[in-house]
Amino acid sequence: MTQELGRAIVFSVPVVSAAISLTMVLLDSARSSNAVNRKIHRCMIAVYSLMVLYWSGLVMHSAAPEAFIAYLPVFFSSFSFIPVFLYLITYILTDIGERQRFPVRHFIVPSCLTVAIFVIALTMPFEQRWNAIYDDGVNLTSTTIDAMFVVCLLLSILYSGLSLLRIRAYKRRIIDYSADIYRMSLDWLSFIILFRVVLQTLPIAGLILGIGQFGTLGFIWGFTTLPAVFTHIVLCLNILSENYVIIEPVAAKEKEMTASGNYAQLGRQRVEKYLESKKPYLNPEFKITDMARDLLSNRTYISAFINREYGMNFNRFINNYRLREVERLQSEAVHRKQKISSLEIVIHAGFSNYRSYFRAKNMVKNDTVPAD
Amino acid sequence: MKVHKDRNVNFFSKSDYLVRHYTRPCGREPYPEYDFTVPEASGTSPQPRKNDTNAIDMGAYATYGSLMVYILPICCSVICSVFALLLIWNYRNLAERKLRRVVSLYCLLTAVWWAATLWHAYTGDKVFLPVDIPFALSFVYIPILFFNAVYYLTYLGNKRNFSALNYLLPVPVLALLLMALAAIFPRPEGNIAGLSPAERYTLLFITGPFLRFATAAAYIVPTVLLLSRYYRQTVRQHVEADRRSLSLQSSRWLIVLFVLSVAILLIAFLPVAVGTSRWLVRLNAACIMAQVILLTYHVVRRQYLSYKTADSFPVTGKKAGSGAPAGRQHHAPEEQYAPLNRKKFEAYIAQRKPYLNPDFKLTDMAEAMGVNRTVMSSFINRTYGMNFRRYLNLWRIEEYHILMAHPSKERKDPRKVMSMTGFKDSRHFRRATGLEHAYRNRSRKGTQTDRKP
Repeated sequence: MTQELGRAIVFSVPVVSAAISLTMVLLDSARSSNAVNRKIHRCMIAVYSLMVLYWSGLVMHSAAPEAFIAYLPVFFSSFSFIPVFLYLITYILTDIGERQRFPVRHFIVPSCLTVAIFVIALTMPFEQRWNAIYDDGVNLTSTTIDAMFVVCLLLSILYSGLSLLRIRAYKRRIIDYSADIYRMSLDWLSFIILFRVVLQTLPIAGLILGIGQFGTLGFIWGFTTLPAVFTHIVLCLNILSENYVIIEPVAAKEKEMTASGNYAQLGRQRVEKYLESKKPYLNPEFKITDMARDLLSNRTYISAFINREYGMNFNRFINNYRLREVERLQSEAVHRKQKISSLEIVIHAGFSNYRSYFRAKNMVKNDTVPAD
Repeated sequence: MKVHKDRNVNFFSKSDYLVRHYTRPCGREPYPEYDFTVPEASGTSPQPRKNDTNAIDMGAYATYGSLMVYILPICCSVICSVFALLLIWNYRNLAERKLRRVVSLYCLLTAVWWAATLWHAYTGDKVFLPVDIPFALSFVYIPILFFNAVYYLTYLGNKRNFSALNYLLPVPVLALLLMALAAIFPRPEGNIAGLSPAERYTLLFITGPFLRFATAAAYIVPTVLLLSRYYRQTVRQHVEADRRSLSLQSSRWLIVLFVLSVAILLIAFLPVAVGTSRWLVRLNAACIMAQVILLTYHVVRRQYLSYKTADSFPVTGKKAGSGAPAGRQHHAPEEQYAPLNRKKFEAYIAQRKPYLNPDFKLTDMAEAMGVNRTVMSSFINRTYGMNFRRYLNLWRIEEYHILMAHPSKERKDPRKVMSMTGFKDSRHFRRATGLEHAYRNRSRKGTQTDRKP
């Protein structure tokens, strides 16, 4: 009894964290400005609602078994839809400028599972469902439910893999597009996906499939929910602080320009003069599209030009300028005997924060050491 | 107190739940405002046996419910604290970092407060619990931390740092006050005999409802002062910055936050006056959750003016960035001091199309034309008979119609075209077209003049 109560309380922590994140996203959705943002907010609301449903199912499993039996279809369908919606978020964030619609086929398997579990819930008598969940009776219902659970687990592992692949493809593209090291890395997303698979899915599988050992561990349950809470927080935090860069699709005008070859040819001198006189890199959100617009050129051409002429990608190229700016400001401060915090200098030079400055610095360091 | 305990002994032994009934005696009560009753289901049902599933259900569920009233705010505050903590390393200026630290601590202390309340609710009524010292400290420091958070939220740059005296003073002052009180009104030694002086004073502090809320009451005044000064200043800035996106409206939440915090204190204080009620505890929990979430959300979203002060880079920076204030996309043309005329102005608008940028402001325009804001504004007013905003929107609407009429855009989503023409969202677009319609009707009725630029 006490153990069950403790477990119920432990499982309600993720419910609370998901509910808090849901509230924050809802508060935020009033201010979403463009279509992509709105889409992301809608997805986040869906994901967090599903997570609230899912975790409250686990609470019921411990605190109110009868209610859980009635709740079972909702629990299962939320469990099967979560990975798909997470993948959908990844899909939107890692769009490489094509703006494809999310294929509907991804929703087929979870909906089939949902329909199946509703059919079971409506046709099977209560005792049989109770046996399948709480006792170790082996019958048709229990085997179907177990099989469906395994399918759900496989789904979540499969979609994690897909998401990671997409992130990898995105990373290859983004270095030629943006120079904001911190925002473009999407490390947090890969972290969430990996964390979910390793630490969350497996222990809960243990509980539902009735592996005896888990029951005896008692308070260790407390730790299995912490990763879930943590991922809820990290996901919400990064979406709210817009910690991502979405590649804009190539505009029709730009395409036209590329096709007709009607864009300005660049020279080293012109690019350097532009960068040195206007200092566009002081803006942390400076993108290759901004540069293309200012130089009346197109992004493919500029990216190829920088690669060819300077032997580095756009991201590295711009961050080198920023690093130089930091050095210049520092020496100037020393020269004038002014005390300026290094943070202020770093931010003024166009880094979005201290961490991206360090990353840029390390990149240069890693680059030069083997060359020597 | 001893008497009270004896009287309640057999009552408690009836049920070995964590939860017990707590009747309010007529004598002096240590924590009168916390009502520790459980829903009737668990209080009246006999102790459940393991094999009786139904009884377990009822009992477990009811106990769970009553526990959650306390656990929800604790979880909520701790999670919000983690939110603020994870943001500490991603700051844009030092005030922001301090703000996040303070908010994180504030949430954590709120959690401590409720955890201590929970502890009191579910342990026997010993005279002194080890958790009492953090409990007392949370009463002292929650209002101070709140004041500090408001201080950084309303930070407008040119102020002094938050003085550490706010944190250092209260404890000695309160200790002195308590000693004086203890000296003036000596209390019977009976139930506090085995305690060290520190513990004794803590107990005295917690049992006195007026003492407990002393710091809270003392800090309401400076918080109100801060807020009112902030609003006066933002109104001024607001006028100066020509309706910049950070409008006064977006900082209205600060008032809600303040009202919530006062409500929390009042609800915590009310039982002293009107007696305990389960609903008061629930209401208090709800208020705490709302406040903590609201605060954290706005800290995460940077809905305050203070981070803008990052622009105020010292002289070196200004010189270095000459004319490039953090990546403006529209730069001053070469002929900086040429007089402003209509032809040049329209040429600039038509060629550069600055209105395609939704964030384009009057100050940007003035900068591009090499004049100051007032001159720019009065020029537009005089020449076109409308304000800058309406003028820009006219251009945007025209661009929209051109794009929609363009053959290649035939199957285009009007929303996409809208965002391409520089409208922030469809709401702005609808408002602009509606206003234009109204203007046009009015002018047709009145002077019959075409006001199109």
